[in-house]
Amino acid sequence: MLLPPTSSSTRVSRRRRPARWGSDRGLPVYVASRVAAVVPLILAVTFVCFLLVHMAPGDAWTRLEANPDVSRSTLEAFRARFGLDRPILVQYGLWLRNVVLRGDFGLSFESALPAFDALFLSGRLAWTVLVAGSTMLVALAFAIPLGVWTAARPRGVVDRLGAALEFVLLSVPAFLLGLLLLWLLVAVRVGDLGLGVGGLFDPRYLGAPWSWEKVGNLLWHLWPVWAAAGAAEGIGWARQTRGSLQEALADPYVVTARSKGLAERSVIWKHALRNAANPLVSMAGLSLPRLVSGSLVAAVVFNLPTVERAFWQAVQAQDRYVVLAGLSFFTVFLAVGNLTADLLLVALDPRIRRDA
Amino acid sequence: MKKRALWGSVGMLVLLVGLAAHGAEAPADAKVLPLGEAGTPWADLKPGVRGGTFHMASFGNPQKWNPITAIETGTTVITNHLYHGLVTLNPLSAAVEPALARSWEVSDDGCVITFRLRRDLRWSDGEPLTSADVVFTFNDLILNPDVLSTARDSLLLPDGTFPRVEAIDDWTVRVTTPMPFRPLLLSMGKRLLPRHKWAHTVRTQNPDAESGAFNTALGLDTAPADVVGSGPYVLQEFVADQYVILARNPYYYVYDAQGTQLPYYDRRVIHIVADADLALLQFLNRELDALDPRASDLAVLAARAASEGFTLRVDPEVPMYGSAWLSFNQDIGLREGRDEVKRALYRDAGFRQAFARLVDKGAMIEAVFHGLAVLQWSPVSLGSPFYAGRGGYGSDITGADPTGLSYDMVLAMRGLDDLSVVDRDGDGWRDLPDGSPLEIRLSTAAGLSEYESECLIIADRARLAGLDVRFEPLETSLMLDRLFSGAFDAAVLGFTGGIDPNSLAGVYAPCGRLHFWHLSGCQEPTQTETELVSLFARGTATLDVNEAFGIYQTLQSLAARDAGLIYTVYPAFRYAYYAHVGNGEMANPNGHPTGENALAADLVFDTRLAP
Repeated sequence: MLLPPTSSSTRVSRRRRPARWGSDRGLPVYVASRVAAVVPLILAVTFVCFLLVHMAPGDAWTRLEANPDVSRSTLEAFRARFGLDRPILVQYGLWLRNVVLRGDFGLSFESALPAFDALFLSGRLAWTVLVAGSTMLVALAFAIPLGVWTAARPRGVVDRLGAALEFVLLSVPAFLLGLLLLWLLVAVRVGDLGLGVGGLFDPRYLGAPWSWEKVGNLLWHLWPVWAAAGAAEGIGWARQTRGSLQEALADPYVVTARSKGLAERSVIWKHALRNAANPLVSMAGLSLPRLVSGSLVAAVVFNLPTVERAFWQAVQAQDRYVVLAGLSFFTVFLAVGNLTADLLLVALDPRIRRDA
Repeated sequence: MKKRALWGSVGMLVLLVGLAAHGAEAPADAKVLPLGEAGTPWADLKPGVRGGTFHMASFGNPQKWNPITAIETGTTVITNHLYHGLVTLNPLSAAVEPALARSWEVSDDGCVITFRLRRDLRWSDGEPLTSADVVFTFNDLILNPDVLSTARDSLLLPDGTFPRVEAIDDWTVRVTTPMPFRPLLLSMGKRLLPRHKWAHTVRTQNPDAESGAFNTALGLDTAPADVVGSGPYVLQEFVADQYVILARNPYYYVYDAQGTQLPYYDRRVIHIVADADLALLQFLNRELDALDPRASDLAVLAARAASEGFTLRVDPEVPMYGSAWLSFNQDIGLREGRDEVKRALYRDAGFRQAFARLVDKGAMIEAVFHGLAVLQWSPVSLGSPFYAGRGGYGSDITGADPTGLSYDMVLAMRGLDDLSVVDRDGDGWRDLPDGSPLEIRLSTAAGLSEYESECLIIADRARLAGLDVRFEPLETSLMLDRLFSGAFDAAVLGFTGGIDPNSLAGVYAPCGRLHFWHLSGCQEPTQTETELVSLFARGTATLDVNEAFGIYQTLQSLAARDAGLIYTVYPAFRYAYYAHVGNGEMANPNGHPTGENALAADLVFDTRLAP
């Protein structure tokens, strides 16, 4: 395969490439160092958060104190367990010691569950992965063909519609799109029951064993989520694909491929798109935080059981130990997402692999 | 596969027990509700048919399955269906009536109550429910200092002790107090937990138990089979942020007069929704059978009720428990050593009474609640039989506001003038008696739209009277923090209420944790505060409800005139339900806000299943 050294996609990739990759320690050392770097990041994030939660007036503890039904002995028991009457640094030290020595992230003041259990209850993690993952896959499945189509037919009808759609979808906030879709689901009546509004299933499937109908109903409940949380990302990726592919299609190796008589489909999908994909992968990695926040909006509007929503509820209740557990989780989650994007680049682009 | 087979067997067993219960004679010692029988509170209710699934909404996840430590309504709306106590409130008349106890006797001196349990009571796992479970629940759980009990304070006697609860035999429980304590009977309705399931979690029963182990028992991670109760339903499935499914308790002790074991609905699905908008949409989409709407939903629902086939019921006459109020911080600036003149003004009952006349309750009812709210003046809930607006204990509500503090701009301005709160610098705003500007910062919890609207109306009327009132909504936690640390100026909020006025004792006691408007009263109580404490003690010490009614009448009048809390308006009882929910016109299918008990929810049924 021809590998022109100065394609635009390569420039983007090299700009994103971390300096250490070129060292002789190799990929495993690089991955280990990236993982190790997450630890001080978590420490910094949790410490700042601990300070912020402490400084913010009123939290779940305040509400416990204010509740006439909670006896004084109960309040004393809480105070003693969490060192709530001791200096903030001592409180943080106690929390950190329990995390390191016992894996104990503390207790939810709201539910009395261990903090991590309060976040991941009822398979929330699995639902989060399903919602965020499926949203990303659907957005990519929509973005890449649209990007290829418009790159191959610039200034055509679809291209112009895509540009207009980009403007609209990037302008409309996810929550508003979600509410509009909810209105649509209520306004459109199919039979007596109408279309399901929010949640994972229609009422008749709640508690029912899994079946193909139930899977179908789940997908029916997920499409508004994909639309609300993934539309802006999807159209952004489509436009990025279009731009990158157009640049790739103008490169000399494409001219060479065409002159050798390769079919246009093969030229685009097998050669040009592969070179144009690097910035898309980088974008997808960087989009992970936005997808998580978009999933939060979708989870709230469409009533889905995700970790982000549990975290949001904990923040609202200022349930400090659950908030800290959530921040630790999201820090790891985002670090892993970025690392995965970098590793995908290595897998996709032999030039980067060779450099590494 | 084995698990599925096991569950299948359990399901079949439940079905068989259910079939055996349906249509047969009620067991000899069961509680029988004579639905449709003339001359009883149940006369207007129809006997129903069993079957079907009822769908309702609840805001936010439950926090646990533990009725002893549960606090928030998102939890109690579910635990009320899972557990019952010795006595309960009639969902229609709000009178105390037998539940797990068949009957009770009160000794002549009022210091001993002897409860007799129904024979053959069983927990939902089939184990016998006996007096040992009652004693365990009270002595080892509710009154155990290691347990984060929400009920202990309600059992605290005026002398600082607690009742002694002991088993006489398997079906008899004796409760002894050193002095008569009238609210005790209702307090003995606390929901019971099975000793055989939870004795190992408390040190009083198991010395090896970790201190406070019970507090984390019955958490949301508990297997449904371990959530054993005596209520109409058992926990079948819980998915956080999604739903709770309750299934019929095969051992439930309540039947209708036809011998049909209640509840009528086989399953109750509680949809957990993030906000009230989604609940409204799900109801309009027929995914919910009933809804407790907000005031802002009423216009939408009223317009669509006829065409969509549901009923919107709004009834100010049905008992409600709760209050909304406006309050001034009588300790403002005390800690910082400033605002002496303003503090003296706020401490003057004349100022508070003058301001009470600026609270335009009529406008609140019309503009905020579309006419569907009731005026409040007393600290006691309108639903309570002790509410002083009634002709006597438990009789109909007859009286209007007897305090004479209703909205009157002229009297309010005259009152302010009398206190020398007049405009001294000609800027159009009234000043403090020493001539310094009087600025009142009125706060409420942001997002509580009804309170926010009430604040705007209060601020508007006060400005008309020349008072510079500025509305400052605060985030809920911040609001509570300021309220209970004495760092607020003026505030609008509300309390949930109870049927017995004694539930307010902690609010009006100068050292009570909810006496936020005059925290220094704990050290230097006012004469009114001292009188109120005395009246609360006298009200609990008599077993004669009519005598207690008289005492509480005086108490309510005194508290209202003192205007430490200036009561505003409270939304009318309301709910919406589809036509297929039988008995929906009499019993709120959602089981609240009338019910501290879930009995009302037992009575509704699916009319589409009727032959």
